[in-house]
Amino acid sequence: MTQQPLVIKDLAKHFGDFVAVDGITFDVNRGETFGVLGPNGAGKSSTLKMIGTVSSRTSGHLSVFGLDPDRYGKTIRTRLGVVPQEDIFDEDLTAVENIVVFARYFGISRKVARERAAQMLEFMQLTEKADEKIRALSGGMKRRLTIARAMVSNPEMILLDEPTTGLDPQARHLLWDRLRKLKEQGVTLVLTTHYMDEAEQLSDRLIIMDNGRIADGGSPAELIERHVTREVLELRIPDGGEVAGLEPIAESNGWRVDTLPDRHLVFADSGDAALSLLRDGGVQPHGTYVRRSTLEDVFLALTGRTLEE
Amino acid sequence: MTAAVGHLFSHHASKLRHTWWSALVSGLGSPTFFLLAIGIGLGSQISDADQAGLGTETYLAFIGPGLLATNAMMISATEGMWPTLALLQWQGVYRAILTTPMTAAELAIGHTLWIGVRATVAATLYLVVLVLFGVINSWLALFIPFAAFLIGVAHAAPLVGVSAHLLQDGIYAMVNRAIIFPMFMFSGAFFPVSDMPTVAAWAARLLPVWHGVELCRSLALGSADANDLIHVAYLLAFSALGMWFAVFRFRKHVTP
Repeated sequence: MTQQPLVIKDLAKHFGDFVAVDGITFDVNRGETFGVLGPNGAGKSSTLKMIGTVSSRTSGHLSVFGLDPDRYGKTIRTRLGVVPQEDIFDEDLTAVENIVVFARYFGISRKVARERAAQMLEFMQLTEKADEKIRALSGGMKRRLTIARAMVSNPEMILLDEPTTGLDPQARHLLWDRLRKLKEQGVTLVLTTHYMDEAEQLSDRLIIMDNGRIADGGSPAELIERHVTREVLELRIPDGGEVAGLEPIAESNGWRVDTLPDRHLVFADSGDAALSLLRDGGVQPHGTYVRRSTLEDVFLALTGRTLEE
Repeated sequence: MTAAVGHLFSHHASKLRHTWWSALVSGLGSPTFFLLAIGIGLGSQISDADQAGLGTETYLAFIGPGLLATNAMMISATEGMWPTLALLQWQGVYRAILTTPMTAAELAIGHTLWIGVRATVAATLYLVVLVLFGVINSWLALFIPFAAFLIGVAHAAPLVGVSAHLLQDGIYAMVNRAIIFPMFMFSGAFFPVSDMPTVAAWAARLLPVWHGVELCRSLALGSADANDLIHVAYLLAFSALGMWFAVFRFRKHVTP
């Protein structure tokens, strides 16, 4: 049996009275892309920092590459790549110098560091920016540079904290593409995100975190199957009004209805069929939209809130 | 540990590749102005009778090595405050470095020793200017950069610890005004501390910077002897204590 790169059991992190992580349990397999989905303040970053051995745990079991971070932090960090939430660089240095300097901290010789840095910049499509100062780079470029830097030591596992937060759609898709390439190369990825589409696009398995706890975990398909129907019918709520007659029909058909400020979400296996039944029953919605269920709906079903809140 | 400190040094050295010229200009310019204004300008107002108590031929020869030593202190104290906080918090480069195999202790020690190197470089430039002013008359002066390294580490280390502890710059202005500046004035660089009332004189002798000033002056004048090892020991002890504090604070606050 190959050893799992990450095993976590009842892990907790307290800052004084504040409980950031409240007893979570999960493990990550080699080569897997594992997502940690949750709103801001769910405890995702605290979890990642403990895995990255830059923050100590309050209680629970944590083993990274089969090692205890309290005793083998240095060894673990040698085998780990970290993409922190913020893009932190030495602003006095150029893009390529930042990567070379960083590689040196892993004990990589200057010559090899230069070669690796060039390869990583190429992989992240930043070769043209190699000799630019950091402030000349766009947000998307900085994010890619952070990932290039995390890869320079050839890590077995990379931790990514909100890899695409604040990026425009084009930059996000480019980044997703690069992360998929990394996965193809066999690198284990653990990423936090509060974007349900990101979690769904990239993760083999994921956990949904809320208030420091795990609400549920599994593959995106499993989670959708377990908590919501295949499709969702969205009914727009008119300003100051209501969608009259919805409730009794939903109840008799066994559909769950979640209500957001501007719309009702009707969970039915077929959205179109549900809409016909509602219309037959005399309901006259002002705007309708049938779509596939997403992890966003799962999060709503599990917590009663949306991820954006 | 040695390798880790080496990586940090090479990182800071790469930064210098972009900024060395400004460091060089201020490293030579500042001593020149100070020595012209205070050493020669103010010195010309001091009578021969007053000068007799200084133990040097000119006021310039008295104040030159003293200013070199206090300059090493000022640079290191400043480096222990704002630039340290920038690396820890504002730019946060050290937070990124902590995700590498570097430990908090290695980072604290490497960072503080690098400030010592900065003080050494500044003192070496100062020494060059002192030689040009003709106030160095002993080969022992070649040890001055080493003395400056000790002065640098002794003053940087506690402030590096304070920076890591507070992780904000609120008290720096106060530290500068209430601690660093008075230490500069009463360091024995401008006048012998023995000229002060007994209690004040002994208080001044407890300051690490006084030991630095005395050490640099005896090396510059060539009058250094075994007694000066007390200054070395004092600065070493202060450095070790400060370093322990810096490491402790880095471990506790930088990696919570």
